Amino acid sequence: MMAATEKNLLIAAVSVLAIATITDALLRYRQRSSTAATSILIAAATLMLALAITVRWVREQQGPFLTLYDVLLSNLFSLGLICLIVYAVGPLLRVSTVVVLPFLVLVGLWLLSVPPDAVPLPATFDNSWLWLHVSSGKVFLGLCLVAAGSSALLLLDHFDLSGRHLRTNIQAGELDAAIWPVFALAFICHSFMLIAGAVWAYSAWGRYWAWDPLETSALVTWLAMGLLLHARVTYRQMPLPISWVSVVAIFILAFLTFFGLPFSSLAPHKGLI
Amino acid sequence: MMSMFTRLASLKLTLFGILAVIVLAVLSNKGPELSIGWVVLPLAILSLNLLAAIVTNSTFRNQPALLVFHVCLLSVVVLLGIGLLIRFDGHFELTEGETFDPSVVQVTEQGAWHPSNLGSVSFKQGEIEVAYLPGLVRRDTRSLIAENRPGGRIRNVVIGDRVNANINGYRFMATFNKGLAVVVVWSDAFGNLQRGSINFPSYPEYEWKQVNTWTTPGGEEVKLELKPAAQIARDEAWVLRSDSVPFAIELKWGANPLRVLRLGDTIRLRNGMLRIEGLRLWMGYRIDYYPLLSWVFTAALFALVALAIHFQTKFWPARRPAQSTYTGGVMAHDGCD
Repeated sequence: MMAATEKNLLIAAVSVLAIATITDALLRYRQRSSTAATSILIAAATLMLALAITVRWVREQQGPFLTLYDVLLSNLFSLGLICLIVYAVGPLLRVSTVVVLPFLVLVGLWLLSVPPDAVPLPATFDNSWLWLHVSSGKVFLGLCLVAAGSSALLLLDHFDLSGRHLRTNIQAGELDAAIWPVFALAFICHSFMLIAGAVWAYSAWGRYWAWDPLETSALVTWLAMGLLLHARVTYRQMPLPISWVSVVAIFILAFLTFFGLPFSSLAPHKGLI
Repeated sequence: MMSMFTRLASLKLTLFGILAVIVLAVLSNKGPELSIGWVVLPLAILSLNLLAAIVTNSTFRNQPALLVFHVCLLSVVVLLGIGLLIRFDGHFELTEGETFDPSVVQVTEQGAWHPSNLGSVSFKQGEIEVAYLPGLVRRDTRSLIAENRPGGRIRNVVIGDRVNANINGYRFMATFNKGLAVVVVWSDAFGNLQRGSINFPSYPEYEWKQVNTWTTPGGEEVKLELKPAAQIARDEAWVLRSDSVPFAIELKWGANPLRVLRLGDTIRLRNGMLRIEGLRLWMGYRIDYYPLLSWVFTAALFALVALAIHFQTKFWPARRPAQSTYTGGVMAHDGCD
């Protein structure tokens, strides 16, 4: 009964996200404001995802941490929530929904195709640092998605691939300026994720750092972000398209770190977060 | 001297160093041919580069938060480096009723400057309990130890999944590895008694192969197989304790027929007698020694706060909205090179 409720809530949430994607694109195409409709639809989908997580939590007596299904479910919720917050507080970044919403729909479809199996959380893993580690990671990924979505749009615009209707939605200079604070905030969240993860790993399995593929990939992401922030600050003649490509590449790396490596490597981190 | 510092402080060197760390970290993960130890080299270059930049670059003096961030980052790298030189990592098994013996610890890693204080650690293993949910899902572990403290005082500590024992700077962690041990008493031809325990493989993980071989003080090799009287009820919640496992021991030695021994049984072997005195649990422990980690953590948190303040002043200045000097291809920011 509860499993069916969870499944129905998920189908409804992904459907609402799909409707939001189409609505947002259509309204932008017709040069009309999409703010109210898109924000209401994202909020509705996020609420349904929160309910689905609650139902699963009550049933399994543990948070969504371990399986690919858990990770996709919790991240779909957190990505939706962060996009909603950015949508509310950063008007310049609202146009990123053109990229972000279809991405969320794809993640949702992936989630619906994954078996909803649950694996018990080992007792040693269950402490407050796990929460801090996972939460900061989710905020990082959400902010990185917004920055990457905006960068992708700027790239399309730069190479005249955005089309006439989308072009009027993109204010290139302002949007570029709006990306970097978000990217810097994502860097801080990623840094805290690494610190909290090290503390958690030290108490969960005794090593604060083990150079396993997931840890290495997370560190490489952090270094790449640091590299980009330095390069952006230093090389004043750095072509903007390269920095936008870099932001998108860093998001892809982060995405693979979150959704690929934990479920393909045999390292201790396998399926933990 | 100053020009050397200036050259060493180059931000191009910073970018090269970061790239080198990325490449080495990725390559060392691809296969065992390249040791991750090589990452020390670019990290050392980056540390020198950062130190030189802090000394020579006025940007750091003009932006205190940026300075604090980089000093803390440098501290993290230096503290981790010193930590690796004094670290200790090892593991051992200890049976209920036995006293910790530092000589049985198997060293996994030990830094060149590790101050070996393990000999001063003294404790006795008390009762062990491990709770299971239906389906043999492991829940809470409780391992009682009694630490012998100076002045003859005893400190009881329950080591669990989330609680470790810290003794003389060493952290003792209970692991998932635990099992059963049979306590035996050996009596030689002169009536001298020796008591000891023989550990079986991890239980219940290897419930199906509870076998070990042992050479008696009389010089005879015997094979012991632990036979729990009943199988674990996998569909029920259960607590593993030494008294929760009724058992028998099957003994094989030489060409002799197999003998089944129970609690209190005695058997004559070459040059002595063997008596089964009881069944105990053993616990697998990890020990580590990383005394600088709390300082690393503190420095990392300071770095993070400083970075947040720096970004706040850079991107959200108090009275000035964020500005971009977008020129259709180039964006200017404050430089620091």
